[in-house]
Amino acid sequence: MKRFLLSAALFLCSTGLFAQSINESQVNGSFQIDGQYYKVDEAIGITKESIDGKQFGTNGFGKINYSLGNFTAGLRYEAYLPPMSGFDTRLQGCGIANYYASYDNGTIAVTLGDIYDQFGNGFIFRTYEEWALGFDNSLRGMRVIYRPAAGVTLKAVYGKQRFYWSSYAATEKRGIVRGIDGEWDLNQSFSALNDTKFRASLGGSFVSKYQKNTNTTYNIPENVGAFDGRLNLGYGRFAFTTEYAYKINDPSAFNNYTYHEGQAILSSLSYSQKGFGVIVQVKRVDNMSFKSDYQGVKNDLDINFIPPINYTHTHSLPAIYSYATQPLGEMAMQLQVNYTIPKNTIIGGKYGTKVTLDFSQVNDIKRNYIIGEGQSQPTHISGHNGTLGYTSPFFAVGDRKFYHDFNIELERRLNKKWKLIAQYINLYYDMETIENHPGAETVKANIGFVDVTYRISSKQSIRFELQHLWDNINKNNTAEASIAEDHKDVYKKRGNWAAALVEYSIAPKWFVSVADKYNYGNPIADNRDHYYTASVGYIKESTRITLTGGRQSEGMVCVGGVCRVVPASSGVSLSITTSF
Amino acid sequence: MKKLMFILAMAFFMVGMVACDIIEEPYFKENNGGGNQPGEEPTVKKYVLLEDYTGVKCVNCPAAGELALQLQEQYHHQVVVLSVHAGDLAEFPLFDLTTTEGDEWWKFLAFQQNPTGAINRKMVNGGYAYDTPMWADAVAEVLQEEAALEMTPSIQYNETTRELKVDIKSKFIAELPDTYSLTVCIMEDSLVGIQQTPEGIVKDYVHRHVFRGTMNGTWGENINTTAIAPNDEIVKSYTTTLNEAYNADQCYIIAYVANSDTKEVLQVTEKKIK
Repeated sequence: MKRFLLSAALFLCSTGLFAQSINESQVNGSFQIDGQYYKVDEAIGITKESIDGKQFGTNGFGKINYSLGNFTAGLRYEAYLPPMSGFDTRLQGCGIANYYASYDNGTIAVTLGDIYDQFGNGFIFRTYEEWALGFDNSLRGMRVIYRPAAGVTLKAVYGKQRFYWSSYAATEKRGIVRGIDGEWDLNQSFSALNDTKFRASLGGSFVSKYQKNTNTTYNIPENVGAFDGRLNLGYGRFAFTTEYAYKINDPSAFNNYTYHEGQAILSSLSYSQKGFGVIVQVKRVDNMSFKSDYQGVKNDLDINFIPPINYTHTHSLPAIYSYATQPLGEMAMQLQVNYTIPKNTIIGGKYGTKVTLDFSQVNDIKRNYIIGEGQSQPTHISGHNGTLGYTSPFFAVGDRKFYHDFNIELERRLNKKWKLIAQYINLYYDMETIENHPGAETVKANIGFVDVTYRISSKQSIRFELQHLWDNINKNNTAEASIAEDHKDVYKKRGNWAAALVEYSIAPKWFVSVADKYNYGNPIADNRDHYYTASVGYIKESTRITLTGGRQSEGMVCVGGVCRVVPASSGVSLSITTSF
Repeated sequence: MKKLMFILAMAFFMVGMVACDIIEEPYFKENNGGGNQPGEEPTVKKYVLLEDYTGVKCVNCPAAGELALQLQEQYHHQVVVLSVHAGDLAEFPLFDLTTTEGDEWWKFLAFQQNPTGAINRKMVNGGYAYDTPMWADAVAEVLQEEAALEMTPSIQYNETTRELKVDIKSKFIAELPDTYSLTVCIMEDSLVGIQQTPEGIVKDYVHRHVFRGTMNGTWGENINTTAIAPNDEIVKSYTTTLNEAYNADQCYIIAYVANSDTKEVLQVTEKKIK
C-alpha cells in the first residue's frame, strides 16, 4: 500500500511538473505549398514531349519549432513530388530534410543537427535555405557559441552539408566543414564608448574543409583552409565596413583545377541622415568558389556566399536580366544615393518626393595567364587544367564588362488618392558570361516603368504598372534570317518588351490582378509571344492563398546573386502559405 | 569548468583546421593507367562505359567529345565511349543522329542539358548526370574497381547481305545476387556531318563514337533469373541486318552487362564489326 501511495504521489508530482512544462513551452511554425498544373502551349514551346507526363509539380514544406526555456528544437519536412519546373530534379522526394535541438543559457549555446549560420558577410562560411531557389546548404553537425564577456562572441561549427536527399553517411564523398569565428563589439565591452559617436566591432574566422582525395589525375589538397577578417567602424552618421578573405589552393571542377589562391574583399562607406543617404561599395573576388566537394558544379555544396552589390529590381521587365555573381572573378562597385525632396516645396510637392539614384558595374578581374611547363599556349587556350592558371594584379580591372545598371527612381504621393513610382534603367548584361550562353550577344537595354496606385477608399485601391524594355538587338536591326538555326536558343527573351498590370485590392483580405508581358520585338517571329497571367489572392491573418493562371516567360530567379533558370511554362499555379 | 570545456573544444577545432594542404608542383599525379597497382597484372580487366550525351546544335559538345577521346587514349581503350545524340540540342532534322533508344535513355537518366555524361550509369549526387569536369575522376574511380565478369564478343558479318551475327559470352567472376541484362549496341565511328562549334557551324565535322541503336531493345535482355555464381557462363546471340546507311568499315559492337533494376553497368566490351 505504501508503495502504491508513493507511486501515486510521484505520478501526481510528475504530471504537475509536466503540465507546468507544457504551459511554459511554445510551438510555432510555418507551412507552404506551391503547386502548378502544366499544360501544353505550343505557341511558347511547351509541348507534350517537354512536359513528359509531369503535368503537376508540387513543392511543399512544413517547419515546426518547439521551445521551452533555454531549450529549442525543430524540424522541417519537405516534399517535391515532383519538383516544379525549373527546380533541380534531384530535389524529387519527400522526408524530414532538417532537424535540430539547441540549448542556450546566454553564455553558452550548443546546437546539434542542421545548422544555419554565417561568419561576417559569408565570404568563407554561410549556410542558408532559399525556398525560391530550391537551395539549402545547411550543415549537419554541431555548433557551439560562447559569450565569455559582454560584446565577445566565439563560435565553432563542424559538420557535413546537405546535398538534396543524399545521405550523410561516412561513405558519402563530400567533405567535412569545420569553422571557427570570433566577433568583438567594442561598444558592448566598453560602455564609455556609448557616450561617444564612435562605434567599432571586429571579427575573424577560419574555415577548413576536409575531403579525401580520390582523384587519380591531380594532387588535390585534402584540407583546404580559408581565413577572413572584418572591421566595422562608425562615427556619427558615417559608417565604414570592410572584410577580406583568403583561401589557399582549392583546385576543383568549378575552377578547372586551378591551384591559384582565392581572395575576396568588400568595403563599404556610407553616410545617412534624415532624408539623405549615400553608400559606396567596392568588391573584388578572385577564385572564391568554396565547395565541400571539389567535383561540385553550379551552386552545389557552396560553403560560402559572395554578396552581390547590385540594385535588386522587383518589377518584371528589369528582373528579366538579373545579375548572377561570378565567384571566379569580379571587380564590382556600387554607388547609391537616396534623397527625399522636402514636402511643401515646389519640387517636392505636398508630401515630399523620394529620389533614388543607383549605379553599379561589374567587370572581370585582370588575368595574366601562365604558360605551363611543356605547353606552348596559356592554359585557358590549350584547355589544360591543373596549373596555377594565372596571376592577377589586385587593383587592376579586367577589360571585360559583365554588367552595369544605372537607374533613377522617383516615388511621390501626388495627393490623398494618387501615388506614383517611376524608374528609368540603363542596363548592360553580358549574357555570354552570366547565363553561360557562348556566342550570345550582350544585352544593352533601356527600361522604363511607371507604377501608379489609386486609393478608391480606405480599403480599396487599384494599382497600374506600365513597363517597356528597349533592347539594342532591335536597334541593331538583328534579323531572323541572320540568326543560325542552332543559335536561336539564346534569342528566346531578346528584343523589345512591353508589359502592363492592373491590380485591385480590397484590404486586408483580397487582391485580383491581370498582367501581360509581350515580347513584341523578338528578332525571331515565333518568339513574339504574350505572357498573360491572372491572379487572385486571399489573405487571412497569417495565411495567404494565391491562385494564378497563365504563362510564365523564360527567365532567371535570383536571390542574393544566386540564380536558377526558370523555363517557360503555361498552366495554373496555387500557392498556400501559413504560419502559427 | 565551462571555460575549460570551451577552450578544449576550440583547441580541438584548431588542431583539426590548421591542416591546410598547400600543394607544390607537380600538380599531376603519376598515372598508372588505372585499375591495378603497378606491377600487378589483372586477370580480367575492368572496362568503363562513358556515354557522352551530345547534340549537333550543342556548341560545348565538341570539347566534351574531345575529352572522352582523351580519356579513352589515356586509359588505353579501357574507357568505351558511346556518343548518344539526345536532348533538345540533338534535334536537327537535316542531320538526325538521334535514336529511339537514346531518347529513352535520356528520359530515364533525367538529363537536362548537353553535354552531360553517364559513367557506367552510376548514381552521383542523387542522379546520373556527370558534368564534363567530373568525367576524369569518375572514370578513374570506376577503373579502380574489380571486374565482376569477363565479356568476350565474337562477330560474323556478311558483306553481301549485311547480315550481322553477334555472340557475347559473359563469364562471371563474382557472385551476383540480382537480375542482370545484356545490351548490344551498334556504334559508328568517324561519321562526317554538321556540328555547331565555338567557332561556328562546321559542315564536315567528324563525329566520333556515334550510337546508332541496339540489337536487343532499349534495356537489352535479362540474362539470369537466379543468382549468378562465380564461373557461370552465359552466351547470348543476336542477329540483324546492318542499316544500308551505316559504313560497315567504321561500325563497332558495344555490349554491356548492367543491373536490370539500377541500370548500373558492371562490364562493357567493344569490338569492330570488320
